[in-house]
Amino acid sequence: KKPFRSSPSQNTLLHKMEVEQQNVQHKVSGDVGEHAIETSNAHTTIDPSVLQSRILQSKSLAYSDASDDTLPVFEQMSQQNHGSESLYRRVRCPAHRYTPLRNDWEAILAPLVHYLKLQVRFNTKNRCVEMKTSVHTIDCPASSLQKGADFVAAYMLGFEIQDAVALLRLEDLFVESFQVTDVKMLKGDHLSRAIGRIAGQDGKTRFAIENATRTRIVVADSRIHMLGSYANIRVARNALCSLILGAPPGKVYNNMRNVAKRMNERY
Amino acid sequence: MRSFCSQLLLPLVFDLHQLLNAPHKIFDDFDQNSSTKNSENRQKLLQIIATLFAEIEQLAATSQNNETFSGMQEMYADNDVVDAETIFGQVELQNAPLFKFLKKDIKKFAKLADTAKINEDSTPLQLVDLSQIHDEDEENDNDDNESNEDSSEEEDSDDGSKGSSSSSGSTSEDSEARRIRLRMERSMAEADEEDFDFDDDDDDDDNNNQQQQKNNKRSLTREQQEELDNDPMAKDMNDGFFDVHEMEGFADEEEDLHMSKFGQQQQRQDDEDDDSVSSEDNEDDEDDDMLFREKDDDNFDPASGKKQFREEDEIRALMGMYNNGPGDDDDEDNDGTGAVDPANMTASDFFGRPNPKFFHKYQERQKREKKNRKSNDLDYDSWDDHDFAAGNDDDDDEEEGDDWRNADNLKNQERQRSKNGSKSGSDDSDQENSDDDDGDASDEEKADAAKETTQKPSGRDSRTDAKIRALEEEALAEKPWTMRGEITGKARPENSLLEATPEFELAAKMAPAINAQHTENLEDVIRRRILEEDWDDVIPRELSDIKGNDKGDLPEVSQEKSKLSLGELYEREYLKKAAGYDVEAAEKQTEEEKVKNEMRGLFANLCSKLDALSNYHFAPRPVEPDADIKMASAPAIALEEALPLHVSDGRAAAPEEVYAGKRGRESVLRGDSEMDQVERKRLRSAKKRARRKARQEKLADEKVISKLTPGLGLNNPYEKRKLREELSSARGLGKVSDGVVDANNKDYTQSTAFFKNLQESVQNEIHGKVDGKAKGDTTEKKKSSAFKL
Repeated sequence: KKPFRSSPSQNTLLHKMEVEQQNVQHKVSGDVGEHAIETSNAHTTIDPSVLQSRILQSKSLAYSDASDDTLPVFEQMSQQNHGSESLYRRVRCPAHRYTPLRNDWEAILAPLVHYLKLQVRFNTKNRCVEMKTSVHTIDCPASSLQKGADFVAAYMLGFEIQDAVALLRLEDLFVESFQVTDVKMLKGDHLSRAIGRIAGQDGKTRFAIENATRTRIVVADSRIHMLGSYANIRVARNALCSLILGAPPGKVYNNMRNVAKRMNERY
Repeated sequence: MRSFCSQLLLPLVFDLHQLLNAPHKIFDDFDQNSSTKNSENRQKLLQIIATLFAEIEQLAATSQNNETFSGMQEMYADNDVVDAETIFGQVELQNAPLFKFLKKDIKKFAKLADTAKINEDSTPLQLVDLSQIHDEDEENDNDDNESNEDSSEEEDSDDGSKGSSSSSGSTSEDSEARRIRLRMERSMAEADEEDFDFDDDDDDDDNNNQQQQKNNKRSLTREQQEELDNDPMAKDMNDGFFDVHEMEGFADEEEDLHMSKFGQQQQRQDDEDDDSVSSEDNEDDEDDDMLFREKDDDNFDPASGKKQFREEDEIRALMGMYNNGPGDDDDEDNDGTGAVDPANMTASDFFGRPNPKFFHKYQERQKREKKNRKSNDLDYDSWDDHDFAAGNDDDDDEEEGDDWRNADNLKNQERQRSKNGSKSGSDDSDQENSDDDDGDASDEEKADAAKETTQKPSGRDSRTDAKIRALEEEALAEKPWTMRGEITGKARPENSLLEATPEFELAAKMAPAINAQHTENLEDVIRRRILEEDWDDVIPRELSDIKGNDKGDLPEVSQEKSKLSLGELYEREYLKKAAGYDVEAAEKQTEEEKVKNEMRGLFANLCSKLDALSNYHFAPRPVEPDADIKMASAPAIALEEALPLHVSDGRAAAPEEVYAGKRGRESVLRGDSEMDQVERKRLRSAKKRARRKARQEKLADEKVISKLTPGLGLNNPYEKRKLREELSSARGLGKVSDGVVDANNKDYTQSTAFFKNLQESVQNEIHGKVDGKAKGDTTEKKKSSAFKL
């Protein structure tokens, strides 16, 4: 049996190396000026040699996750094994998604099993969704496994199933995550108000941004996850960043109206 | 065989020499002479080639154990049957192995030379077995191939090295003498050997000559070898393909040709001396020299007294490549390895330093030329002042110019040449002479310059002074009002603004100049509109407010949670993009609209089918409902909407719009200064009249008021004003009628008379009516008989 876990110090070091190895540290285009966020897609990428995940994370998130003891770090698998052996992924379920997962388990299972032909189980002991390819898995096993992992990971981040399923259907969808403090170092009430501005009353501002830019946004404490196509994510991120920086929601709403108009005019 | 060959060869070799020196001449001969001589030549050549071929094969057979080069004993060469290509092919066949053979021999020779270096007293060296030499050379001269190049180069190097040895002889006399002596001894020994070897060939002058040349060469190669030992650089370069000495010899030859004729003569004498020392008889050599001399005379330039082998431009360009003086970067030369920046490389870095003496020569010549040019310019400027006597002393080598100057030059050159002749024949003489020239020229130039400064007219100075003074005054004077920035009417002179043409900007369009053309255009427009029956009026323009429109157009963004999943959203977007099917629009349609659309489609379908049934030949296309036809002649005013955003409507209003309220005289704007005398008087009288009228009305009113309410009196001003206003308003409404004074009746003073008049007038009124009727009746009662027909 291969050791799944290593000591914390070694753990972080490995993770850093992994991040560097992947060489996918997207530099977010300078829309936000000096508040550009560096992102990586380390979240569900267990084997960097296989495929790149479409879930991008800001560096700060990646490091904070890496320092978490519960995160398993796998040894790098060699390419030779892939031909004969079945591939294997596990996605950790955070505590706050445990109950929703239990409720939606049927809905999650359906596309993974029927569409991707993966073998899925939930390991209650380490609270991980584990999936692997089988002889029935058609297409490219690695790619379908990665898709499934991304789908489950997106669900774990807080997206609804019907939105996360889009990751399976469309190739050009991405998940991008960043922290409020990446944009501006806010603390205490300022941070709370910034998060409040993002959500808006009854989530109005967030929905307005979602509808105008055709994205899905999850605000989990100071973490923000966006799901959508690359260009749309960029627009949504712009709006969110300006909100964090202190722009009044009315102004952002007007901008969103402009965005919606331009999106309609595009056709 | 051999004697025949020599008989044939002797004149031919002579011809060949000529040919090699001037190859174009042979063509000229061919062109000029008849074909008989041509064929003769051809036959001769063929014979020679055949014999040479056979000889070489024989030689090969003797030296290489009965193996021939080409595999043939003799060359197949029948007159008039064999063409040049076959001959050439055969010769090639022979040459390929011959070349290899030669190469091998040369290598051997090189080895021998190395060994000879070590033990000085060894036997003299031979490049090739001497029995082959003359044949080879002749063969190679006859046909053009690589070996030919070799041999000719070797000959060249002979001459060149001779030249170099003679030139270097002046510098290191004793060592050179020793060397020559050694060489002489060696050559003598070899000659003896050869005599011993080829006794039967002794009568062969040509052969002898060839041997002689070879001897010289061999001795020279020996000498060169010694030099090579001294110079490691040269040893590197001497890689078997290029020969340093050959190249140097060639360069020296070139140099020598550049030298003055005297120098050349001297050189030739030296050569001859050398030859006389080195060899017993050298008729052919002398003949060659003669030939050279004759040929060289073609290029000889009588004006300069020099032989011009290169054009002036070429020399200048070559010198330009060595852009630094020879002494400038000695350090680089000393380095040898020379890490020179390739970008800044000069020819000197590439080919090494040229001889400094040529640099001096070139520079001095440049100087001289420059001075000549200068002096010429001066001459041209002051043609009349030119001192002809002084010109005689002037030593300029100018070739072009006027006749008188040319004549002078020729004289000078002759004198100079004679002077040079008297001096020793070294290069230094030329240099010294040029130095003298320089001195003379510079002195004269100085004198000229001084003359010019003294002769310079003082008028020019005064003129420039005046100009400068004027400019200074202008700079110091007060600036004109147009340059002083903001200025008031008082600060500038009278009517200056009218005279000036200031520039200012107007946002509004300029009013058109009303002239005949303008009115004509207007009339044209009117006529055209009448013809088109276009009676529409000018549509007032409306400037759209951009801001307001923008805000209204923006769609509302839903702030509710979307009911569609992200996948569906993207799916719809894709459908709209790819298939043009708008799901949202389809969902928004009401039931009625859906049905209507369906009906429309069905009806259109039916119509097209019916059309196809009813008309065999013509089925009108279904009418497009949205086709909108617009008039081609749109109102022109619509095109003039383009007004800058920052310009308000007010600025764009026409004068008649601004002054729409007033009419008549008031509508026309006219200042007091614009009116003439009559108009002014009319205005004044009109004003007076109006004032008088107002005053009279006021008085009348007051009178009436005082009559109406005498008790009130004029004490209460407010009451009075109020009454007056009421009255005026009543008059305005037409309720007040003024009584008219009867001017005819003056008897109002007495009451009796008044009443009497009243009575009468009343009676008159009553009776008058009756009378009128009666009168009318009387006229009607006239009988018709009263009228005459």
